[in-house]
Amino acid sequence: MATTISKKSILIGAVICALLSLLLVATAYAASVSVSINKGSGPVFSDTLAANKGVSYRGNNSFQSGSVLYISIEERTGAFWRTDTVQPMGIGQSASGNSQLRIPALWRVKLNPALANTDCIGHGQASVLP
Amino acid sequence: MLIISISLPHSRKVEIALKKRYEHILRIFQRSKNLSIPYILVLFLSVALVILCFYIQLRYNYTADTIRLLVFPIILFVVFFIYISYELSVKLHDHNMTEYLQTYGRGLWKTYGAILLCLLTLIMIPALLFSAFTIYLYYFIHAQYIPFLHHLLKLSLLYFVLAFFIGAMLGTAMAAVFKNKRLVVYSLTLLFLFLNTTAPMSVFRVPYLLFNAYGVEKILYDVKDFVTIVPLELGSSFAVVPLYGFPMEPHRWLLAFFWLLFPLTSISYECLAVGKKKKVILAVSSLLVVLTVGLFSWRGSTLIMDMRTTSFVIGDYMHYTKIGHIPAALPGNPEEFSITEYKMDLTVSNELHAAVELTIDDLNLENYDFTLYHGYKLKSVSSADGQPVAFVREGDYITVSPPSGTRRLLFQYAGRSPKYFANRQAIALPGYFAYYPKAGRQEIWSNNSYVIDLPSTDSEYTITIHSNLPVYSNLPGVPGNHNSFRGKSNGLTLLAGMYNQVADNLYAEPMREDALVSQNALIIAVREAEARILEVCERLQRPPAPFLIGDKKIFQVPKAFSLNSQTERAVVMNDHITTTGIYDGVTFAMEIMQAHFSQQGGTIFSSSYLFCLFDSLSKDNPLRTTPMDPVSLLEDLQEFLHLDSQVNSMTQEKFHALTEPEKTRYLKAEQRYAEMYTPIQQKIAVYLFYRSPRKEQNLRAYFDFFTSDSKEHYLALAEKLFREEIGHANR
Repeated sequence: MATTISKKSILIGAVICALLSLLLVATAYAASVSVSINKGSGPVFSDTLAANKGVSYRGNNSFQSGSVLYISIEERTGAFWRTDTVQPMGIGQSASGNSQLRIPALWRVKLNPALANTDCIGHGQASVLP
Repeated sequence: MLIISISLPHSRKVEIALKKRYEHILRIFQRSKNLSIPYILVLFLSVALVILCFYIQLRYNYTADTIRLLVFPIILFVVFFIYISYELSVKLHDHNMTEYLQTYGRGLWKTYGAILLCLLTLIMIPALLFSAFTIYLYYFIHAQYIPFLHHLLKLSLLYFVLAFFIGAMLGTAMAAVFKNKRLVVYSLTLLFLFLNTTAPMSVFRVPYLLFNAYGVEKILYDVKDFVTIVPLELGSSFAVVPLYGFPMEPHRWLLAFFWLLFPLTSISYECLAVGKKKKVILAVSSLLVVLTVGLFSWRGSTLIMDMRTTSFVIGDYMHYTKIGHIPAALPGNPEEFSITEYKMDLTVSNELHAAVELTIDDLNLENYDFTLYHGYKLKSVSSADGQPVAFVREGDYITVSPPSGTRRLLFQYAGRSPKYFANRQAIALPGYFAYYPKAGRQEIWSNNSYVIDLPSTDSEYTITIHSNLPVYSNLPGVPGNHNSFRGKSNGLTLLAGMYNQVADNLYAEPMREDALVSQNALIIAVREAEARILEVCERLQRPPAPFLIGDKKIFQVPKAFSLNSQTERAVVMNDHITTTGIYDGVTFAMEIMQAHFSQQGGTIFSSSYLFCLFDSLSKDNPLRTTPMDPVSLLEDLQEFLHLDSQVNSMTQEKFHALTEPEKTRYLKAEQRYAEMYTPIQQKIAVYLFYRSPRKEQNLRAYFDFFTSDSKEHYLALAEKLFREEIGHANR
């Protein structure tokens, strides 16, 4: 006996797919992305951001942290995510700057506590260059 | 037939016997289902990997990524070859055949020889497949750069053929040494795999966590490097540096040959019965270990792209902030003399070996301070007549006390920097880096970036470089002398490797894929940059002379220079410019301008300023059209400046002295500051320099601020400009 799928199910499926696609596109084309780490194990990654001329970034490592936190800006123009910039942030310090690459690429922020520690509290953000 | 057989020479007989054994072992391999089926699967996987790489090449047209994808799983193939070679060889022990084989003329040794030949056949199929694909890529992308073809050929040999054969040798040797102790063999294989990935990074930090000792970590990494067969490790997120290519320094070849020969000596040792020969093999084996370890420890400058404390990425950060505590240049200790002439004899072998003779202009000082990066170990300082001169070294600084009237000093030193590499594979020594003695005490590292501190006056340089590579320099070459240069500049830049002169005064890495490298594109971009600089200087009503490119040579240096530094995108010296990438004319023009700006302007604000000045705001940037009110912007700015002073005046001691409610309040303020940081600066910049009716005055005011030595907060001027504008509107 052949199993038939009702039109309603197909419609619901299509709507869910469309919403998910929109969510993905919205994530990729947001103006900025951010990520936080709160005494967890790293590395943690932000969502993806699309930019034509690179991104600016800022991160901070809270005074409540126990160790150095690295903020990395990663880009993807090819098959792999590659590190564009790495900056260490000591306890209570911040880091900011612009990415090096200035061609259309996908971007994300990575927060990685030094020494594989789990005592970092910090935040990282990347925004499309104006 | 018997007569013919007897009349055959001994070598021919050995050849026939070996051939027979080889055929037998191949048959055994085919019949062993636990070996032949996985091998066939691996062959399929090899083909699938090549197809995937080809797809990735077609999809992204990024050759470095394609080769990286091909190289990443190589260590898994090596481990697989350890497995099949071990299981094939251990059959001799599983069936107690070794004793029997040892009873007649080198029987066991010949059997191992045949096994190795058989394994060589098996590894050559995937190795040749990968090598052929790599070479095919060269023609597929129409590379037309022969050094890159040589690089790919060497890569195929080291990363595929030799690496796979090392796997086979290790497996066979472990079968000979450990026999059927599978637990030991597979534990060692897993350890080998672990050490050939980036996974040990966190484990290697344990000694530091326990004993606060970085030295132990260094030793552990030395051990790891010694067993690293495929230098581009599984798990690395750092891009291949196009100037350098895949790591293939001489010590990598040395290690590859060691890992072939050492297992061979182990097999020979196990094959021979007791006697003198066994002792000879043991001696050869020990000598091999000592020699390789000795040469390995002398490997010098290598490009280390990981997060160890001596790496390209964090080496200097760790040195200057955590380990070294090098004293900073004192403001009351200015450069009191100039160096008028340098005569350098540089040898780039495993690292930089230098003999630098310099001439100073002021002979009446008691002491002379020089800056030389701490990685270069000073052997001696002497006067021109060879008399030793007393000196004191303190990190990057050298204080020399020559006899009165000494005009010339000779510095002899050797060493390396984790970032600015110089070895037999490539050279990247930019003129702003103290790889040769510079007058006075200069800071090398500050605020998580390298400090660009160039002498204002030119020196006369006469340079001879002994290197296997053709070296490119900002100075004119001496006709008829290979790698010799002479000329005037305020910084000597040396580059070599996969590097070329692409046009007049333009030098770049021909295989770089993220930036412009073709002759026409680069010429157009540089012309456009020059035209845009003239245009904006006219707009600003300021002289363009300091910013013009003119006949300066332009060197595209590795993009990785900006990986851990915000100051090296473009560095303008008197006769040349180094840039980490020319992407288009406008971006290059902006970077040249930013290179002249003082460090006081925040990077985000100053780059937003430049985007407005060069009229390069993205067309879909909402800030171009969103309504903006200067009064509310001023309020936001004041809030931001208040938070900025609060956050920047906080120290660890002050924070821990706060009460819990104060801490909570501060953390909220810090969070608000972080949220505001980028949007407020971009908004203010776009309003003041793009939307404001007084934008031209604002642009000029900030241009003068950025090019001055003002110590004022860069947003204090914005506050003043807003007040002026609001006051003007209210009038």
